[in-house]
Amino acid sequence: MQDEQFTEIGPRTLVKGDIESNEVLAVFGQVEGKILSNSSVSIEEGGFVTSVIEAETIIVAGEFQGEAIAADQFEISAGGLVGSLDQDASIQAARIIIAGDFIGEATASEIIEIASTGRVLGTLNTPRLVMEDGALVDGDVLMDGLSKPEPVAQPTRTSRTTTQTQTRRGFTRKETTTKTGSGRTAVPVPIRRPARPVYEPEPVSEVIEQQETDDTEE
Amino acid sequence: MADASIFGPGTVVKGEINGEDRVFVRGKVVGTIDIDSAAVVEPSAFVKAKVSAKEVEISGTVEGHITGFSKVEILPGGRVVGNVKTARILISDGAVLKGLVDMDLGEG
Repeated sequence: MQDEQFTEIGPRTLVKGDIESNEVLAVFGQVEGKILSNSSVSIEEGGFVTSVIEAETIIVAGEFQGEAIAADQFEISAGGLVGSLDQDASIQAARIIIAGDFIGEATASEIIEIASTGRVLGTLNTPRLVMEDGALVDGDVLMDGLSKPEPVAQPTRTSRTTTQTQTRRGFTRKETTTKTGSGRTAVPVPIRRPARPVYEPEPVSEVIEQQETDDTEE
Repeated sequence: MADASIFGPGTVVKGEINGEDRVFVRGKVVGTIDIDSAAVVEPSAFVKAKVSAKEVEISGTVEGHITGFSKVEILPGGRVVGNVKTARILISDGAVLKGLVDMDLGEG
């Protein structure tokens, strides 16, 4: 049996808890918890994973909600969904390929590629960006070397027409409180940018110890 | 794909496994297996969990109570430390069982 080095979670299986793996892991069913892998993790069509994934490569053809870190590549296949309007996803990888839907913040150390079927609502941090014709992006693109755009400073106005400045001031004040800051005024869908803390994975050994002590107590 | 879940030898699950798929364990599971189908604990597996399934087939190691609603089978090399509750039980020569066997006679 040792030759069959893979794990497959069936379409009618739900795993609640943590999975640690050093072999190919395919999720056709549902996982609620943390997946730590030094191999590849794929969420197949119909598969649904929430919480955290850390792996070498991650492919999402189903749905993923939460935070993911891929040492190498993170790919959202056509038809795949990462993040939701209710909850932004956070993904980090060397290379990120988006051919499905992505809502949240993506950080690539090398490149982000958005295929023609890709749709992005959120923030892309990357030194290089490739977009195919047809790709949709609504949000910020932050590239290395360019600092995050400052919120538009409120110009000091001399009172020309009092009524006009009143309304404009009122408008700009309102705008600064929404923290979108990039000066865009007409956004069809509001993009929230919560100050999400950078995910710091717990060391695996600690997780194990913690869990095992929990077990003995039961 | 196949209607089965396979937890490979390089995989450790800490938590609950639920569902209707057949479950094959070749790695390690700590927690609970509660499924409506068959659970197969293969030779390389180590299961430290409460196992509840329609059928349970063990040729690896299980530490925990086992409920097999229709059948429990412990094959050669299988090692069980825990109580077994089932309607039918098969224990092969070479299998190890340490625990109580409670056979449901269908009266309750």
